[in-house]
Amino acid sequence: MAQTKWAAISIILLLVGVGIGYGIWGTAAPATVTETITQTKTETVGGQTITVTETAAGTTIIQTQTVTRTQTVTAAMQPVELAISVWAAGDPASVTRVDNIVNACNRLVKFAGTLGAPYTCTIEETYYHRGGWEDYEKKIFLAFEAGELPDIIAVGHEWIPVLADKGMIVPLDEYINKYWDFAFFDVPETLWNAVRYKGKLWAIPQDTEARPLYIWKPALKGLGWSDEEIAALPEKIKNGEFTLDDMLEVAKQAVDAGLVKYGVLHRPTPGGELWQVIFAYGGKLWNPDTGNMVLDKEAMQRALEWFYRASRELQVLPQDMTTWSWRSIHTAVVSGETLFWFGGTWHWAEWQKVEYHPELGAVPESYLWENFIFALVPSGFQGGKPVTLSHPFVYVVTSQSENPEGAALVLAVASQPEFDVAHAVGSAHIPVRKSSLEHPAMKASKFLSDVAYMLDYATFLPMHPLWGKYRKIIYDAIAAVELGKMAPADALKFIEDSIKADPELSTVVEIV
Amino acid sequence: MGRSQEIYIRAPRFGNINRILGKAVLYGVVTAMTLPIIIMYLWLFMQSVSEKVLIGFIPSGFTADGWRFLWGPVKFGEVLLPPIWPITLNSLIIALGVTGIEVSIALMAGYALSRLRVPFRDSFLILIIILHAFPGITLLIAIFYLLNVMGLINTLLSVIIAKAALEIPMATWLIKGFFDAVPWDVEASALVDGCSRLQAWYKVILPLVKPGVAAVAIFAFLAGWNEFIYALTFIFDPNLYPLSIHIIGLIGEFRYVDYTLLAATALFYSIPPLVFFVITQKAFMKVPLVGMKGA
Repeated sequence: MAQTKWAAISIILLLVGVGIGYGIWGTAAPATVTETITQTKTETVGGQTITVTETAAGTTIIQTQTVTRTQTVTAAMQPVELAISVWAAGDPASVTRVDNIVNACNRLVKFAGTLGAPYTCTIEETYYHRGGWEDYEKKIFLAFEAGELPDIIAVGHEWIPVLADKGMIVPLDEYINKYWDFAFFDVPETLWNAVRYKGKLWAIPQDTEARPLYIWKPALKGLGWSDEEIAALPEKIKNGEFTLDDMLEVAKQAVDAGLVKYGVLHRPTPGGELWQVIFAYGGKLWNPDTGNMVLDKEAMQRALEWFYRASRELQVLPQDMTTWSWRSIHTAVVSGETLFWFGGTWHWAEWQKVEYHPELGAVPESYLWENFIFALVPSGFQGGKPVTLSHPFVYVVTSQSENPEGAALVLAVASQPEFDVAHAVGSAHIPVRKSSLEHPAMKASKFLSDVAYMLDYATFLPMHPLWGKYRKIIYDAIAAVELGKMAPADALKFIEDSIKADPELSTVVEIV
Repeated sequence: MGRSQEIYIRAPRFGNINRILGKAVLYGVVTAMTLPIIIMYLWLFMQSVSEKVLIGFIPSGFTADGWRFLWGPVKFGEVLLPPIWPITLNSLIIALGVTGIEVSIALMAGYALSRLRVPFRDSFLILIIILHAFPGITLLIAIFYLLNVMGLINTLLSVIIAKAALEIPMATWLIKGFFDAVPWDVEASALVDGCSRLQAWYKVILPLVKPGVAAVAIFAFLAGWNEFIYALTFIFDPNLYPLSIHIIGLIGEFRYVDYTLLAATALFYSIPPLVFFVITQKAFMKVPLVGMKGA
């Protein structure tokens, strides 16, 4: 019985041993291998990706292996039709705000064509060069009510709070992130801050600018300034060695000497050039920490006193300045009737394109270089920091757009340096991308290269829905001071009282 | 005798002088009153064909450059302006649309108010004149919302309807006066002869109020042709803009204005109303003398 038991165990062990031995031998030197081929095909059909897996097995066995081959098969692509509408506004030299969108669309079609993609892109562009900004604003709001907003609108960055709060535009963070490496990686942070509201990015910067103080060289020469002294003036302003009061003093000398008709001219409508005087006295109009607007009483008082000295005491600034037409101002500036002009970089291009000069018409750039120098707006204090105001123009995508994705794509292409530069050079604005500064056309533009440093001194408008209301009060106060209707102290009181009397403004303007 | 003959001869001489003096004063006053208008049109014409005008209207250097918009694209600064012909067509559609609606409704309403026993007719007449007293601009937003609800915003029809609606009360009053002047006997004769009321209105009365129809049509056409504020507010598509908005675009903020182009376009803008007036003035001036026997 015991022998039978051990015999059975021996047979089992033998069989197991044979089995193990066979297995080891078989693995080490197989006669044949089963090949299993798995193919995965990814096909794009009608915009959807379909993955098909095919497995082939049972051929001559040499070794066992699994091969996975991924093959992308592009099926016949469905035509993509992109139809985008865009509105923009501005001076006739800035029509590139819509032209760039059209050109970006064409570029997109060409690029898609090289990939064999049947892509069509249609842009319906409207450029408002008639009327003022208020008409443009009304048009946008009426179109919103009627559900007729276009896909893209170009506006000043300070419009964002109003448009966003009313639900007229959509945040673009998703698209900006998507196209970051392609189009937006080198847009300066200051410009992103200008389009950030309530923690979201609502727009894509389109252009920016500085607001230089233009100075008529022949008048300085007439006062006995040497070429070196004239050339050094922008640097003196930069270093705080030439203040706003020095400016009035020189203006008075030039007017008294009969070298110019006016000492200083400024814009006739509410706008950034006027607020620069408040900034030059260390004031601010917005508190980015609280999001509220600010009435800095001390700086405002000093600014109003400066306007009073210029217009009423020294009489170097026309007392009816706020009633002038734009055309008469530009004519006076380009024909050398004023020593100082609070202008903008875009005026440099405008003067070359519009017939402002009574005899020369549109003046050549050589004429401008011969007769003007430009500088930052001087500080109000000796040794103080000069200022300029930058007002970035931006593209927003409206909430009524049926294709925000397509609109964002077109904007990403329109933000490429060649388009950025085309607008900058054509309209004398400053490009929004750092890489644009390296573009040959930009390097060839001496003017833009020379003013680029001013962005380091840039201030911005308040990002507040009620800024339009607040700025009108300040502008009315300045106009009243110049027209002699109010003393500076009364004008300041008028501003303060107007804010306190307004149920909306009183809660959003910090009086300091 | 000789003395009286002398007086007889002198009297007509003084009479002539007085008459001539009277006419001279009359023409002088009329000329003085119309001179600003004449100078305006003279300036427009001279400016449109001159490189420069001296002392307001003396041309200096002939040029047809201002009229270039008729045969090619025009650049305004760097902006390429849309072609003029589709814009002119838009203006024509608005003007003719307003004319058609206004004349047809005013003719029927005016006849009804003149001839039929309409309850509260006097109150109704006062009400429609009150309606006309509202300046269109005060109703702008309300009309905008109405048209928006109707889905008509951004169409030429929106401008036509709004303009015609606000012009109809005055046109009704105007044409009612013409119907009132037609003797009842004329209409009664037509009815006796077997005409229905509608036939009498169409075949007998309307021919007698042709001057009234012409007057209403001229005013309606001019109102439609000159329309600006409704077109500016209700239309967003620049392809639908009429000439009035196009001209504002040429002026802009007076920064880039090309006066030669502006003057030529303004003259072009004034041609269709002139043509329309010439066509309709014959009927406008005709006094209804036919069928007045016994009136």
